[in-house]
Amino acid sequence: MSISYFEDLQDGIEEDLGEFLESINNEIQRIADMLNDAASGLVAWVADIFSDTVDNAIEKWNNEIHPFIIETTQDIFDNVRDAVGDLAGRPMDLIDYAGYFSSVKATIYQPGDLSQKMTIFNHDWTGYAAENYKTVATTEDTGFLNLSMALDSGATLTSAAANKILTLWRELAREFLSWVGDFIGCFSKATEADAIVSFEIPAAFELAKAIWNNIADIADILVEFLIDQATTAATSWQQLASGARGLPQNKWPMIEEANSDIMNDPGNWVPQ
Amino acid sequence: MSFQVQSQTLRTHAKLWDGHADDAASAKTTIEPAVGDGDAFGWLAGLNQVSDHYNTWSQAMSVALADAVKCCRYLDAALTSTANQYDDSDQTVATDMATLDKMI
Repeated sequence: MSISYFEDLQDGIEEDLGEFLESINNEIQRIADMLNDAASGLVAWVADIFSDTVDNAIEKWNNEIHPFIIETTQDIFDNVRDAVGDLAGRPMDLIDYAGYFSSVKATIYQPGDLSQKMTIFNHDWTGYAAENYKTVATTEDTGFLNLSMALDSGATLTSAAANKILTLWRELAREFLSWVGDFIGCFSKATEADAIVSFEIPAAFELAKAIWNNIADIADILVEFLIDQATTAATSWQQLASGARGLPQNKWPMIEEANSDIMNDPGNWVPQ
Repeated sequence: MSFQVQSQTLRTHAKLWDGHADDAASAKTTIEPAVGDGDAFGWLAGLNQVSDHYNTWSQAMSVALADAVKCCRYLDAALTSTANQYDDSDQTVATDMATLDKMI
């Protein structure tokens, strides 16, 4: 199953949880049948009928193991859904956004556009207005360069986050069944009454906990990545948001009124 | 005396800024769906400032592009007006200073 949207991930995990529930129910049924058979003497180890082993096994199953499985299965469902919920996001939208920033960056700044035209301008015009225009034009042109650099950095950060989210989602979807399989596997050894008597609930609980802890580990990886992107990366969102990179202060260099007043007056333009 | 050649230089520059204004306006439209949608990074990004930084930055980019359009439209008008003035073919096509002043 291809995972591109959070709904894909949720659907995939729900499907896996469904499989998990079916497997655990099969195990419950198998162990219950095994204990029933032992109690009724249908199996080879008849000697157990006359020992306390079967009674002890049935008592442990009824009072400890079966309630533990029911309760832990519910915990797995709740904790997995919570842990997966933390990973929600819309990476495909982010990929689109990165594409927008990147395409815009390429169109708003063309190197050399102004400088070549300025050579001819310098030959044709002089005077107070021409000097003001040259300063303003250079400032505006630099504004486009800085803006395009900011958009480029934003595109890079956005697409990196999208790819990280998708990578972690896909890892989770790929590994989830094997994590669940470890928990189910611990019951497969329970093939005889002896094994039920010696079954260790704490060890099984650790396996159950590992399922949602593995998802939490994936969330931790994403958190570390996001903290790095937010504040400490070579180009970070903090730098971009504060205008420390790209466009200074993130503000477009507006044309000052004093400069425009001079350019607006035709008398200040002197043709050469 | 004719300033036809010189005024053509102004028109060339005016056209350059007109193009920049169009590009910046089109860029603003292009990035608009992405502006302020930091939620797309997810809940964990919201906890770790990425969403806020992204929103601050993307909104600033949108405002910067709008301001760029305004400045470039003004330069286009100011240079065209001066060219018209110096061509002296039709005084009425020059934009008056008060109108230019209001553009930025």
